[in-house]
Amino acid sequence: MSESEAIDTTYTAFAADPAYVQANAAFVARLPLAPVARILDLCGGSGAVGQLMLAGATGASLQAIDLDPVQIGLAAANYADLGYEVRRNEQPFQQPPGPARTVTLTVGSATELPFPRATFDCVMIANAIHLIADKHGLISQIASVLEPGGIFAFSSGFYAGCWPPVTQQVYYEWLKEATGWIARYSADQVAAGKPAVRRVRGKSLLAPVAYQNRWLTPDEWRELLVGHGFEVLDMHERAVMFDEHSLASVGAYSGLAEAQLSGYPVELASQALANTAALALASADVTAVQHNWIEVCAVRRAV
Amino acid sequence: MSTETITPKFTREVIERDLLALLTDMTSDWDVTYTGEIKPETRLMADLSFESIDVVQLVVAIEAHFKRRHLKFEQLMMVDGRYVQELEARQIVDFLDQQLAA
Repeated sequence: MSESEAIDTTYTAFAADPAYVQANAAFVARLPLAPVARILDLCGGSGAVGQLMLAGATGASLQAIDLDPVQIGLAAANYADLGYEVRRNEQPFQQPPGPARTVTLTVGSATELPFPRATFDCVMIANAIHLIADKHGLISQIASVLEPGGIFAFSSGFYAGCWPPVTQQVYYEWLKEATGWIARYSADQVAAGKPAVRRVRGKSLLAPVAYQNRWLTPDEWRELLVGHGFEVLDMHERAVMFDEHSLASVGAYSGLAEAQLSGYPVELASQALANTAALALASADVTAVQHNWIEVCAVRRAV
Repeated sequence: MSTETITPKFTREVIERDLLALLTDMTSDWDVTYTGEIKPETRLMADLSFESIDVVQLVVAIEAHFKRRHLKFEQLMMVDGRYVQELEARQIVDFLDQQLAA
């Protein structure tokens, strides 16, 4: 353990995880996408779910926004590989939605949407809405950029009830094992005459939002959406089984590692989580854990 | 005939004393505005600026100190299916008093 091993800390590996892929495909399959023409993909990441949306809405264009320029770069390559015309917005939001089968990618925040009213007929957020603290503000902005009758769809693996008790136990043991892994790594470094691993508290931007945001119940989500002029068409909870491969690949993702092991060097935190997934599962004598996802589709009512 | 009284290894008083000592030791070099003595009513997040991983590290320290592994801290940290937003030292004492007696 004396030398740090290279590890892929992007979302790419988890985005290709079979359990995650299947869950995303099942989420998108429930959406009424056939008539959709202009999709806004918030927190679009590397485009894993946006691609599924475009496959379901064959006449649509897609505008994707993500705070992370690395993810936008990955998305550009992924969409281009699939034959879509890809545009990059250097200045946020200056281009209107493109024609069918074009993808416009922008580095930007999901909570600052300076689009004209009713620009889109579909807004989607896949597994990121829990990261946004001001949910009222977000839903209000989404309602504004959606045309009446347009749909808003999201999935999230972080809501009240997402983790059954065994999953809670495994995830907690996982963090303990990961911090132990870093402590052993640090001791090895010191034994080799190198500096100890140093944790800097209070510097992570992700830690406060990931686990200090209040997770909503399904009923609270429904109430929030109705309060902003939406009618909930579909609300579904899906049980997804994550095995060692799933946990190792999501643990390696820098966004999760920074939030979970805040203050440690992010790449080391990624390695720690990836390398201790099996130990976490073994602590509960299981080979996989059930992680529930909420999937919601709502339509914006005419005002 | 004599009656033997079994005394718990860790009384509530011992648990509270040791937990407050662990918290004091853990936070002694933290750059936080809270300067008072750590007491049972001290709030980990609001007063001591605990991050989620700090709680995990406290749990590791507690398990090492009391020589118990796999204490079910997730039951303390998650209520009604979601993470708690605040935790007082007293709640950890209550939890340990229950768990260490089990």
